[in-house]
Parts: sequence; C-alpha cells; structure tokens
Amino acid sequence: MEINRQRIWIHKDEILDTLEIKKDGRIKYYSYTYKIQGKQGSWQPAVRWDNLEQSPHVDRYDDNNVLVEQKPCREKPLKEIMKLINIFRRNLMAMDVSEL
Amino acid sequence: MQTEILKSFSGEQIDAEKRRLELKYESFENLQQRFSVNKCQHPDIVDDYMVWKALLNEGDVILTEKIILKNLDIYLMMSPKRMEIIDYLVSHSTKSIKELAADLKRDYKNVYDDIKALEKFDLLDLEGEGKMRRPTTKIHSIMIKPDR
Repeated sequence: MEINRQRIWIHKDEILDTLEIKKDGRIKYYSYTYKIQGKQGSWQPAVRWDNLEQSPHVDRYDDNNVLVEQKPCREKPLKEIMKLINIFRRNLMAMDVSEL
Repeated sequence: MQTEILKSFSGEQIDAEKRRLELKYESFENLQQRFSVNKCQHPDIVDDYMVWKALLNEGDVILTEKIILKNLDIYLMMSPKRMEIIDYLVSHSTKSIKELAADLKRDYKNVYDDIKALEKFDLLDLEGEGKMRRPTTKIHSIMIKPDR
C-alpha cells in the first residue's frame, strides 16, 4: 500500500492538496483539493475532486467551508486537474467544474 | 522553475502519524463514525479516514509527502543559516528549539524566527506543545526542476 500526499503551491494564498492511495501500483483512492487561504491564515477548501466510494465527483465549498454543490464527474488525473487550476484559478469557484 | 521537496516517512514516523491521528480523533472508530456522518462536508475528515484506514492495512505501507513550489518565494525565505537548520535536523534529533539553538551555538530568538519561516513552507514540523515544541524534519531531498 502506498500513500502519497502532495501540497502544490499555486500562489502564495492558493494550494492544491492531493492524496493518492495506491495498491499494487493502481490508484484506489484520490482526492485533489484546491484550497484558498482564509483571513485567519487557515486553508479553506474551495473545489475538490475525489473518488470516494468509487464515485468520482466534484465538490464546491463556500467561504464558510460549507459544501454547496456536489456533482458527478469523470475521473481526472492530477495532470488534468493541475491544468484546470492553472487556467481558471479562483474562477473555478463560480464555474460548473463538472462540465470541464 | 519549480522546487520539489520530497519527504519520506520511516517506520517510526509512520507510528508518529498514527499517534497524530489518535490525538486528533481519539480512535479509528471515532473517526469512522464522524466520516460516515459528515462525508464530503469535511474533506480533511475524509482524507484522514482514508489515510488511517490504509495505515491499518496488513503488510508494508509506504508513506511519502511532496511539496511542490511553483513560485520562487521559497528562495526569498531561504538563507545559509536556515539550510543549516534543515541539514542538522535531518541527522540529529532535538528536544526543543532552545536545545537546537544551543546545539547550533546560535541565539534562541533568531533560531525561533528561522523555524517559524521554515514551518510556513512545510519544511519543518513542530511536535508537542508550548515551549517544549520539538522541531523535526522528514525531508529526503530537495530538487529544483525547470517548469515544463
């Protein structure tokens, strides 16, 4: 079993936290969470892709860390997520990310 | 240009990771209960649950962490003295920041400021509470790569 965590700094107040759990080299679980630094300095989730219970989906959160939307979306590799984040950045929070 | 900091966890550090989760949630069953009630409302709970579940798995577990810095801010923060702290902590353990300052024959306040700056970029961890906070690092390598 392999547990790989990554923190990718997009900008000084934007990060992507990733978690991949692999078994026999295959990803069993992933989560890619785009976070924004709040006023108190803590990292708040804004958009998150994961395949919890084998159901790939995307979650959107508001400024108070409350889950406001959950939509199914096809599995996306980290490379694709990075591309989306680099293009859209904070605009992702107002977009229908499941359609991208 | 991007900087990649790779951290690898020894068996002892994997045990420390389990203890960190125990401290946060008391028990795996407690976390499991919170996970089943909250699910995606609290992403950290979901990830902690998945990690703890994997750590409880029979057989070998490899735990790695990577920090990727896409901007160059880290170089504004880095200095020979701060690199010296990382270098020292890779091969030595210390009980507190005070002890580290004494080992490095440096002023406590300056070492404290350096530790806080390094912690901001996840280059160091501070374990414990109050004045007895113990600086540690799990850094295995630091790589500078062209951004492709």
